[in-house]
Amino acid sequence: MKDRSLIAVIISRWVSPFIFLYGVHLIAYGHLSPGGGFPGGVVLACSFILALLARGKLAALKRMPYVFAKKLDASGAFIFLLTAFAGLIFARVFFLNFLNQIFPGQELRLFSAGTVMINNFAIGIKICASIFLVILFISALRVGKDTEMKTMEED
Amino acid sequence: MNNLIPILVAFPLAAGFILALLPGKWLKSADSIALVASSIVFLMAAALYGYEGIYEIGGWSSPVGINLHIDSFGWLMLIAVSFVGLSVMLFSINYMKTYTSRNRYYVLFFMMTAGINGTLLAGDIFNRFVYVELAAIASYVLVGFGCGAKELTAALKYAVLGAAASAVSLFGIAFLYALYGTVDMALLGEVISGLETVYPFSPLHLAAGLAITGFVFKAAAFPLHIWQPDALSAAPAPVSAIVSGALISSTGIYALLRTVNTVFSGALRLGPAVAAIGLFSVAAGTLTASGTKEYKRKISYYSISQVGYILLGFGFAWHLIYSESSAAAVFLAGSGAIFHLLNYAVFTPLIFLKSGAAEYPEKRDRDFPGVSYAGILSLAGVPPFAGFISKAMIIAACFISGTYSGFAAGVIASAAAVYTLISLTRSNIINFRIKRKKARNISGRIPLLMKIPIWSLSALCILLWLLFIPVLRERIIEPARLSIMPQVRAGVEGSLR
Repeated sequence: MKDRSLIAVIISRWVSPFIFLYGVHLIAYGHLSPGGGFPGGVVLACSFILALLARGKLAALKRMPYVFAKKLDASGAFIFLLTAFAGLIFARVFFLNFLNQIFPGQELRLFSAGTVMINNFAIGIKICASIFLVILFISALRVGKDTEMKTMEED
Repeated sequence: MNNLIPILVAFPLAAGFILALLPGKWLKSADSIALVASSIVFLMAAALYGYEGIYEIGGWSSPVGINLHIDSFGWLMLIAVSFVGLSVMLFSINYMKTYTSRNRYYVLFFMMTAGINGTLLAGDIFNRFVYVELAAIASYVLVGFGCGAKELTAALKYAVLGAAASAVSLFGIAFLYALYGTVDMALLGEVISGLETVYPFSPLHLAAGLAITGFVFKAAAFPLHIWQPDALSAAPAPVSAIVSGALISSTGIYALLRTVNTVFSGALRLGPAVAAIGLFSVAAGTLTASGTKEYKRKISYYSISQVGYILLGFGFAWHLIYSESSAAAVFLAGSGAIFHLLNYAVFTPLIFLKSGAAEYPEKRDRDFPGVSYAGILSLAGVPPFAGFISKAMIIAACFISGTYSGFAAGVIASAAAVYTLISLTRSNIINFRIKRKKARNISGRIPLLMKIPIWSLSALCILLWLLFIPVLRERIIEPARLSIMPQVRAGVEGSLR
């Protein structure tokens, strides 16, 4: 911790919630504006990666523990599959957008896409967790002055 | 019934995610969940018997949406591959106890199953590519699952080469999309068969070559086979079994055949090219195997030559279907190739599983290979075993075709078959004499759950003969053969039913 810049630490602490919020916005409005699950998920992951870069691995792992990230990764994909199965159960066609038929909503409004929004959030969660894990593994393999080398299974 | 088609892809994925989400104290039930899930996949595949049709996902129809498609040949592959998957799962429940983190193995196994099923069912070429990648990426990790130096080297080699081959394949698909504006295979086939003239070097040739190269790599056929012996000899035994029996036969051979037949057969005559790849694989596999001492590696090279026989049969059948006189040769080559594909999906997993059974429970005891005599004899083509008739049919088709190229192919293929037979039986008789005593000790300590898949696959090495009882042949082999042949004049087909 001793050789970290104070400015970077403070600013990252201030900025990362806003990055997170922007990621949620990108996902939520994915069906209306450029964005969606994948870019939004990457932005979500960026808020954790910023913490990792500015304040070190332990600070990032405090916000997003390793085991939690793994479970989040799998559960995002699982939610996506569940919405696909829900189409089969409620409307007899796999992946059918059954929510849109029940509740069409007003066009160009937030709740107007049925299951697309759920799918976007599922992909966002998955991408967030997996990009974070990728960067975490890359940083764990780094060899150098970093003395925080600690096996991640312990966290 | 119809809804089973997407579930065959989605269910293994769901099983994989559930296993990944399993809390730590429930990890003991992972074995039973995995076993039940792969039995359900097998039962679902069996329940689709006789069903042919297209499933539109999400209710979006063909040019816009994604569709899944099944026909007789797809079903035959699906049932074979699910059977291999179930056998490998039965085997690996005990075998993978010697490895750490069994749960992750199951997760990757189900990812791979989903990719394989998707490859067999996909109706458009881009989705097929995605499913092939899903299965391939899971297999890269599974090959390196032991985490030893040998495993990791093989997995790295496989992953790097595989990524390069996939990139080439993706370029081909992008070319097709740029040229014809669709990736739906049926539509592409219609558009391409409507083309008036195809110049000797048209963009279509380039697209076909690029798109097929990736599948040739996955099939481990001649010019792009170098990953296969490393990967299969280094990987844990159940992984070698499923990679050779299910992954190569579905994401490689089936995807190659389906792409060539559905997409390109309207305008391009790719039969000779496929047959040439097959013939070179036969020669290269057999010759390289003869210089190899290590047992698993030797078998890997011989399995390359078996893939060669399959491609030779299909390519030859496609080539001959346009000539007037040789309906018998078309029949022999086509159904021989399908039959050899089924045999291949039975005997290679069997050989690898048996060699793994000898390593159980001490993982590092690799000096004694457990030799599966049924598998070896079926691979070599010894008469009571089913491998004999399929190989004989392909070679006979080459000879009775009445063309010089067919005769040359027949000479090479039969020489390779005889050489395989002599070399494999000789080396195994020697092996048998030396290690007979040790083999007796080993068979006592294998648990029943590992014996069941070995017994059932061994039985299938002979029982696959039954597929040539006329009742079964007309219900199973013939529809499959007709669905993978280009649709030309009805007079040529069907004279030898």
